[in-house]
Amino acid sequence: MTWLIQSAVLLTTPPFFLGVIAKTKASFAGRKGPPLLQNYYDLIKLFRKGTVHSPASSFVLRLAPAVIVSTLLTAGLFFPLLGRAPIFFEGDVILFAYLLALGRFAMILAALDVGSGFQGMGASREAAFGAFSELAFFLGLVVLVVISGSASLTGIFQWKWIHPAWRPVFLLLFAAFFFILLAENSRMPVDDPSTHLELTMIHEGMILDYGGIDLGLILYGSAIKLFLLMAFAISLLWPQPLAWHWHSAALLGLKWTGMAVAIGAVESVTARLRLIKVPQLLIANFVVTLFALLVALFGRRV
Amino acid sequence: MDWLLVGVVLTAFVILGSSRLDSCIRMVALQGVLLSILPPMVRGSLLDWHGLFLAAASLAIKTVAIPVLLARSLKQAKIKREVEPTVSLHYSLLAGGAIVVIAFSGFKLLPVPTGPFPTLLIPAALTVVFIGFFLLISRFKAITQVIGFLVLENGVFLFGMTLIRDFPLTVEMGVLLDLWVGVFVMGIMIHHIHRTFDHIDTKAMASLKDAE
Amino acid sequence: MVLFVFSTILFLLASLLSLISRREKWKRLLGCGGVVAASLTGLVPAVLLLAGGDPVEMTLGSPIPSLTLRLGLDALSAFFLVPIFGLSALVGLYALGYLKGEGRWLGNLPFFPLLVVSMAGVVTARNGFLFLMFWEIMSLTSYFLVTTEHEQREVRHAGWIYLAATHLATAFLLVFFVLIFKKTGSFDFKDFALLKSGPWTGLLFIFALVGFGTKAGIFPFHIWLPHAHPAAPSYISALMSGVMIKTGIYGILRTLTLLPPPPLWCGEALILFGIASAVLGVLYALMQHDLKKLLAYHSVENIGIIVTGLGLGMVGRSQQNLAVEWLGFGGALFHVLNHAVFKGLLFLGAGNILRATHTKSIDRLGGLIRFMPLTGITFLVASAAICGLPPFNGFISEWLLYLGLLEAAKTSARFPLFLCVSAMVGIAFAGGLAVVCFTKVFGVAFLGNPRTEHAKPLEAKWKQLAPMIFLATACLTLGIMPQLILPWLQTTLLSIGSNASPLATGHPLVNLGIFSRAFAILIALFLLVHWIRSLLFSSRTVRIAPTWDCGFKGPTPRMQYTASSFAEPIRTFFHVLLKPAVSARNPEGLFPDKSHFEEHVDDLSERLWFSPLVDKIASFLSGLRKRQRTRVQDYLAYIFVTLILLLLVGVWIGI
Repeated sequence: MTWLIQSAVLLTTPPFFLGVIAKTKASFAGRKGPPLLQNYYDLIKLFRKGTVHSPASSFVLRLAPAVIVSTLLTAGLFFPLLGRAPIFFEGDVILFAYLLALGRFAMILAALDVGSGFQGMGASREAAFGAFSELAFFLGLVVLVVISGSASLTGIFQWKWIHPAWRPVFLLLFAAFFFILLAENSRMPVDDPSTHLELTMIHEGMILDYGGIDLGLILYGSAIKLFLLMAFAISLLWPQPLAWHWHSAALLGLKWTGMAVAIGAVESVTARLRLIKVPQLLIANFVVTLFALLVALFGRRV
Repeated sequence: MDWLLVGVVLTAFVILGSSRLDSCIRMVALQGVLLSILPPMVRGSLLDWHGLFLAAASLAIKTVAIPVLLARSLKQAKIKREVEPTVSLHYSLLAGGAIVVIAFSGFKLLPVPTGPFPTLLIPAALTVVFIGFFLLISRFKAITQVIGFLVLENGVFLFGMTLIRDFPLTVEMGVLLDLWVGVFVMGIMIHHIHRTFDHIDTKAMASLKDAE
Repeated sequence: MVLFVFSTILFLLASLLSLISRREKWKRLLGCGGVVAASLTGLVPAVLLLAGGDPVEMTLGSPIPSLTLRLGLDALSAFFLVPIFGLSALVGLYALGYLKGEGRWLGNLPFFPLLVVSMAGVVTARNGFLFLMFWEIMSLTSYFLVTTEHEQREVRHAGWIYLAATHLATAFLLVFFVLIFKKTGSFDFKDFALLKSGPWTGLLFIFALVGFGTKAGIFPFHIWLPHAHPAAPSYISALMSGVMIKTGIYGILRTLTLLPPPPLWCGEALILFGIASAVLGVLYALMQHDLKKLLAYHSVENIGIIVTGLGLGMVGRSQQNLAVEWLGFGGALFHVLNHAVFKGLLFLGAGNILRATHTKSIDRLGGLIRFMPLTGITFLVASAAICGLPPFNGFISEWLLYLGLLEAAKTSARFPLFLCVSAMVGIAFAGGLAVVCFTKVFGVAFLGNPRTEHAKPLEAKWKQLAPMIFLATACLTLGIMPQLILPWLQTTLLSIGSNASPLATGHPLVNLGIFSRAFAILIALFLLVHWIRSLLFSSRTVRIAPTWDCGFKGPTPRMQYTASSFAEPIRTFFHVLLKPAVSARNPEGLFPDKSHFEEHVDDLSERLWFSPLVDKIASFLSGLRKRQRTRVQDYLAYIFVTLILLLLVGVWIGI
């Protein structure tokens, strides 16, 4: 049962929240914005198209989209989205993180496969920023494991300990993971998802040479990645109930929409940083997580 | 209460990592607001005149007077609004991380007073004091020096919270007065350095040594 | 044990026959083929023992009274013998193809079987004296193999550095064994049990750490690695990096079983060294342009991960936490095996590239995957494995280690919490940087377009490819079915005196079988998505057209991102630490003339202590040389004075 429902949610909903973000940004800018389901239309359109391959490219370019989508879907199976995760075991947080890393590995290689400077640039930035954001991500995991005493995503988000609190630790962690979310999904202060200037792009730069079904798969993958990291961030403040109930689905819709609106708002009010500033911000994020660890350890009695 | 302490440390981090002087000043002001809320809370009662008075005084000085003064001198001095640290901001932030680890793991070695204050108070105070020191060491501009000094003093103020039950009001008022005078003197000096040298780099202060 | 002795004899025969045979073909066949046959023979007893056999010992005889030379085979030895013999067999097969037509390299071939047999000797010796003997044979034979291309100046230089470093290590080990001899009156490992715990335990441990650490390549003693590996022929690099440096790890583990329980700080020191090696190793690897030097620095990184695991295990043991102990030691041992597999594969792949393109510089390569698909695919598998990515084997060992560190962090009261957290973050960061590094290597060397015009590179022959395909399969198999190795880990851990079992860790799921399920889902999903994609594409048009060039006509392959530019963000961030030396001439003016950019990163530990140390010694010795006389009587006088001094020291201090 959990298998079915979780797979269904994971497969179908992610593009919707991208639509919510776009809508929020549009309303901030005083526009009407695209319909909420625009991303589905886009995907369907892309899946109908053929593609153009570069003569420089190899099987890496052709395999990468499937790798990206399958790693993210697998990672999604470890997350307690609606009740317990379909598979969970002690240490699955690490697997979760490394599955995301595998997706990134495939994406970077696919970018380098076409032998162009633009893709190379995007790939290089993605790789470096990924390494820096991994710092904060793993430190955040340590904090969560130390607080919850479990190294499994299902165990971590079991929040017997959340409600008396909303303790500062969680807000700090939420801030940290929210920023990781923005960085990993190439959102606004780090990368501009709607830019059309090749030299400044990160994520868009990497997928410049993709088209048709492959591009559709990659965009779909990005939507899942955003969905999963949103899940991570929002579950810190307000976890999903562990036993499956119909209202968990409603809660999921509500909370994720809230997150999407928050991302849209942040993206509307910030400007993209100079690239040289990005590692600094990621390090700042690391320091905040470090502080969260210390607060978690020393602020226990209060 | 933890919220406030976490906020104070976070503002210190922001000051450490931001490259613009005006945002530094704004953060110091914010830190002042957070600090002013603390005394009544530590005293345990919102209607306690000692705490309230301290809150009002520190709000007036730390949040209003000094930042306004700094902002004015920033405007008058017409300097480049960048911090220009000697240590790059990346490493400043990493140093901040090291400081917070040292402060949190080392505070148990100190003979600290015990009392009904949150466990985070002393490590947070230590962190803020150390970050203040680091700012003083690693920045050259006079305004950033003042900011570092303020952060340092805010840390001391946090330490003072551990004793707020036992100490008479006059001590804290003295500290606040001290701060006020210190910043005032620095403000005058910024003015003078600016008039004399056309910039406000503290490296030029060596020639004004006798003024302090 | 009979088979083991038989395989030793085979090795010696192979060496001898390859030395005396005259025809190139026979030399090659006997040398390499002998290694394959002997290794396979030797592999049998090791695997049998790990599968549940009893430890065996044999006495070689006692040349002088009070010195009995003994060999022994227990689970710990067997666990290291498996990668030694396994990789040697594969490397032997590879060398059979690799050395074809390289007659000038065959002169050093007889050292190859000797190197393998001396490594086997090191891990089976049960006597300090014998151990050091094998250790020295291993160092010397590998020195001769490193200097195979001795007509090149830098190869001789690299060999020289290797020889100096490895003897420094031996010196420390000699002191280590002599100190123990002073305490126990015996070189026999069995008698080391008489050692009582005391302040010298820590001292002994430091000597062992420096001695074994230099061989293993722990930062800051790793100096020889980035010199020796690029200089050696690739099949030797694979052997040295894959298994020889692991003898250092074996040494540390064996020391643990010999000495009384060392104090807590020894484990903590190991973790610290491990973090430093892991992070700095990968950081320096990222800065390299030379493929083999890059791989050598990655050995430093992986040794760092292994050493962190060892340290964690030791900390767990001294705090009597079975879970931490098991996960630490288990992760380290598993990583030893994994590293042998993927690093051997990577160096063999580097050998193919070198053979096909005649350059080690990554920046001159590109697009190789179209010419050498099998080398490319196996190299890709190994790259993913070394980054610790699922579903390959590197992930499992790193996962065990992470789990151990988290376990230690959870019970923070009794553990050096910040050390564990730093180790966690350090290894994660090293993993992130490894992704950067190997996307760089694979992306720049194998993908895109060729950066220089060279003759069409040719794919290697099947003798070279077969071992690589085998190793790549092993990467995947060990990743998907790690539970196969679990009993081996268990028996090995028992033999180093660890009572912990996976069940005692409190993680019933450490049976690792869960990964088979998880990775089966991953692979099934991948196949499904890819199948759907192919299905959709089958009815769409796919055109081949040039890469999007942003309207710029006529981009050349030289405009692709290079390895140096790929690593630029990281280098800029760490420039204070790395201090890159740049020599550049920027294009200027409307009609810029030739410009160039070159950059080079020096090793921190070489800059800080090794070069100054060597310079000091050199200047001291050249000072001595000035005093050199020509008369024989003077030399006799030196010898006489030395003897008298030694006698006096012996009498007074009692050494």
